[in-house]
Amino acid sequence: MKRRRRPPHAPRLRGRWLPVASGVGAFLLLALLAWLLWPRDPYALPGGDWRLFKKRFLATDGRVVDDGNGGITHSEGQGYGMLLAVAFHDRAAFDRMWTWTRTHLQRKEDFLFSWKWTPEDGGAIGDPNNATDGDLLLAWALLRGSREWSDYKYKQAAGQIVIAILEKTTAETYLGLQLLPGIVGFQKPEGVVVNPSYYVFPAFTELAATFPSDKWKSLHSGAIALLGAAQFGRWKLTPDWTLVAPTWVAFAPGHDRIFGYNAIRVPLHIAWDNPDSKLLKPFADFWQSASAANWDPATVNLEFDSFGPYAALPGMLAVRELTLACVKKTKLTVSEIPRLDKEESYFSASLKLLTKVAIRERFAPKRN
Amino acid sequence: MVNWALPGQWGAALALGVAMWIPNGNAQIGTVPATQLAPLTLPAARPPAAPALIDRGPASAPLGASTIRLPLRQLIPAKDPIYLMTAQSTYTVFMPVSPRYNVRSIKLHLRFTNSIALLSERSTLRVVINDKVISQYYLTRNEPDHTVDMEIPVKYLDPHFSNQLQFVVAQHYTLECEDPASPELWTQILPDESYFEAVVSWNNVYPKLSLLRDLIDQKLWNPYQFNICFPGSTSGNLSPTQLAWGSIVTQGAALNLSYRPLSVNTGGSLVAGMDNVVIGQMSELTQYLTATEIGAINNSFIAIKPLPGDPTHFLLIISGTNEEQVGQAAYAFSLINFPLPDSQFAQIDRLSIPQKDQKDFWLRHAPVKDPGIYSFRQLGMEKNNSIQGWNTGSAQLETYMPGDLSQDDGSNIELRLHFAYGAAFRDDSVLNVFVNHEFQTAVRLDDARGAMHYGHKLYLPVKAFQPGRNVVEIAPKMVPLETNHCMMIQNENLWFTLYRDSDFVVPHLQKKARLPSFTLFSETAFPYSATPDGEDLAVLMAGKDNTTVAAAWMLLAKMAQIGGSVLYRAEISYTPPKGKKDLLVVGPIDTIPDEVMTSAPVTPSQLGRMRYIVNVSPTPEATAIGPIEEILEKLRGVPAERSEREQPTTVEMGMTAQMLDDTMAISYESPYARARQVTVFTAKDAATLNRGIFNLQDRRYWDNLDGNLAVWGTDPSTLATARLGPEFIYKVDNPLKRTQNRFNRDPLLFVTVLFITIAALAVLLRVLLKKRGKKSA
Repeated sequence: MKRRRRPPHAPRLRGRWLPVASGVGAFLLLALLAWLLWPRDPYALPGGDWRLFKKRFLATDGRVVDDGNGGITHSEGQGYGMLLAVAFHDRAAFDRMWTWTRTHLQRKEDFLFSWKWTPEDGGAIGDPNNATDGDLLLAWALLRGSREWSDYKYKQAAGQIVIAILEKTTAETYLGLQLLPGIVGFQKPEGVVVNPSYYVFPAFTELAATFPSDKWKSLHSGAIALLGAAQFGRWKLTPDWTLVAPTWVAFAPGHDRIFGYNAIRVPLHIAWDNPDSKLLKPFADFWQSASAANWDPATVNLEFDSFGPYAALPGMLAVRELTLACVKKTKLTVSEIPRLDKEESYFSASLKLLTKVAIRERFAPKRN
Repeated sequence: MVNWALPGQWGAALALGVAMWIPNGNAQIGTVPATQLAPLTLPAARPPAAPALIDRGPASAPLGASTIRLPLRQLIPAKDPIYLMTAQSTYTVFMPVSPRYNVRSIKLHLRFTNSIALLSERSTLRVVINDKVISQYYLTRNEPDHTVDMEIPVKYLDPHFSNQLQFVVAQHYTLECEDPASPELWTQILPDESYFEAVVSWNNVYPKLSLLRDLIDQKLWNPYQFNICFPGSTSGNLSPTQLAWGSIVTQGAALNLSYRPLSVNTGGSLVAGMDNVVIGQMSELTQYLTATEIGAINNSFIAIKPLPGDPTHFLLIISGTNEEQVGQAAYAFSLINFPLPDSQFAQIDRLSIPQKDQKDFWLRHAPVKDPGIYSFRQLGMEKNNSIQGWNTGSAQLETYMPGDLSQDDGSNIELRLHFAYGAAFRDDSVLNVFVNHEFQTAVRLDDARGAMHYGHKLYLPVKAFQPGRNVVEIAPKMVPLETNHCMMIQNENLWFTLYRDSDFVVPHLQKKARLPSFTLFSETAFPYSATPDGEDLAVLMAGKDNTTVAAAWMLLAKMAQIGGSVLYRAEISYTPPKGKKDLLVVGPIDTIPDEVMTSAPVTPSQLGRMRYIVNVSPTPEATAIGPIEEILEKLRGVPAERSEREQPTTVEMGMTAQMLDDTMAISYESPYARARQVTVFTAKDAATLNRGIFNLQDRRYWDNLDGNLAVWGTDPSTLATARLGPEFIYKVDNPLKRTQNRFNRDPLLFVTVLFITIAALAVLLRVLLKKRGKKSA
């Protein structure tokens, strides 16, 4: 075959493309530098964290998997997942989680949610009783979702949950109105068993503003009274579970007398709702003294003032940073909290991301 | 005419008013034991604003029941006496008994007086309830004044319909043959001193939307009282949207009560002892809703349920997913006569509100259209009307005239009557026609063989009609042929039938409303009802507190009752209106903006003071005119109109004459828009204003409004009215027309201007001619 010759008047290839390629290369280099050096919003929520969270804990059907508890799913996890989906503006994930929750956990009789779902044998409800923190978190997430995407259906669902919570999961005590951890099993002859970490204060505030009821105010003041009374041990920390007896508070019978994986959420909720709250001080004092001892424990035995054997989870440390910043009135940015680690458990990851959201909402400069 | 009470009457009237009000407070609240009020804690009801229609009875009521009283006067026209004339006569009233009452016992306290010429042993009065005689009395000539108490058996009463109560007399003055129409044959029942007294408790409500019209019941003896709750709101912070919702709901309730007064509260929580209406978006009402109900709220939503802790009253929920839908639900409620579903809650998916050009189709008291021909059937005569007997009745037609009907209209309304009458009447038998109880014309029924007339034309002057409601009465007076002394009188032939296909022919009516006029306002709510949806109405809430807001709602409710429609497009706000609208201003005296008063005939400082009008010399109604003016009038073809009344001389009092318990209303041309009206309702404080407007709903106040200034206290006798300041023609703001109207009112001014113009033209002509003369020279 005869090779075609280039016409003599055409410019040579090298001579024509070299300046273009150099220009493009320089532009790309410049763009890369700009991307690397461009000042970032220190309060921006890192999208990578959310992607990792979804990859590790969110099943394709919308179920949030608690890998630290045998792969079960609970209403609290669904609530956390949906709250984070709103914070990361991810409606698809939000809808998936809500659909799964509604289908698998929501109870027909009162619009509340069974707290536990186990994946064994194709999946089933593990305990039909509700957990009020999960209910509150779901209502709160739905309310935020309705605002984020202007969808009335979410608000309607939140309203239904709120009515059931206020009607069925409160009890009057000498400290005022308290939140029952569930409908069944917490009103004992000796008093009412409560879990202080179930008092999600920022949810109270937002839900009360949208769904006004006299009970919110009573519930809020009752919770503050509880946290003021239920301070145990050397560091005056809040226990995971508390008994509100007729005229006093005590450790709840049948539960470990510790400040641990439940109560760690108490300072998070307080700081998220009111960074200036004086109730944060005992927690800050404790963490300062623990740091002095070079040991950040996951649990503290409030009866013997001793530290537990396990180190605090990264998510718990994030709560610590938030609490200290609030009490010391120092600045704290989202970027100061470490990124999500590939090995982190569901609970730690949730705590860490929620803390980041709280920091963004409470510390970021307000924009018009 | 100036209708001011004499100064000396004021003190006594006020004292009487206060004395009447205090013991009557709390009239219906006592029926609900406080211990029932759980689980929701409801603040106790405040006493009703004024208990004009209900008295506390003796303290003998059984536990849980209360004694209520209903004056007989409430069941008959405000000023009518009850006279039973002739040998046999019947007077019928309809006694309301609400199905909301569980009536334990009921009695009638009756006062009556009979003629001293009656023959005692043959003259009797019997009292009949629903065709059952419950009592009878001799009409004794020696003791003509009677006071009797009679029990009305509860089993004879029907709570769902008005019960027919009849006073039937048989009266004779001799044992021999007598003249049955003799003037000595009379008995008078004293309606102001007679009353019904009942021991009642409240029935539990059956919560169904379809029953709402029976729950907001005009058959209640006491003024209907309810509370509008905007959850979480506090006094003074209701938004204009909430003001509008509350107004629409109050008007809806008022329309269902016909002309009965109501009392409304508003606040951020429920009130015990009365019906409650909660209004707001779904999320705001969660404490009053179940989760299931929330799930059902996907649109405008209305639900009814028993009031928590008090099953004898209801809680009505008006809601929606957004403000627009809540507004739609409120409007749907206001159409309470529209059949609502037989369920506890309903969603309103669609509500078609008539367009501007269709407005008259949904107006309850729609004025006649002109020109137009209406059959009597269209004016409410459902059946042909047959009348039999000597002096036994008439056919009555109710018509509504436009609010701006001119009183100078010289045209006539034509009646095309289709009627038949019997044979053998005496030839002085007639058919009289009255308009608003004033005789207008007659037809002689003089054909001894009887006759049927088809299209018999009669003419009624438009001037005989007033704006608003009018009653045309067609009354045959059929006299037997033989009425000689001691002859058998045949009256079985006295028959008259008026056919419903008779016509009422309205010509082209002249529209010109001379304002301000409280007469017009009380008859038709004009000019605020000029657009039946309130599009041209703005309400300025000068006082922002809830007591003032409730007062304004009550006023709008009364106007809705008069106009027959909900003023749902009225603009209600805390600031003056921007467009050209007629304005209502409601608020305590110290909250009325100065700019509102800039065109008032009194200054703001005068407004707050009691004013006594001392001008007693009558002002001529028409200006006397000389021969030149008479010629000019003939040339113009317009007769001199009634002269404008002079402003009365007034005396202002000092501190002792400040407004005490008085409420005041004054009307004048709006400072914001020419040829539009502003009416200010004010009092020394919000509570007095609220009570004053509540009282104003009573027809003894409302029907007697006149002029453009009214002051009233806690008793109807304290109402005083006057006319102050200039008039204007409604919506005539064209300078040419205004000048024309000015000349119409004042021919002397017209003559002066005419002469000046002629003189000026003459001078001009003379100057021009002179100039021309010089040029030609």
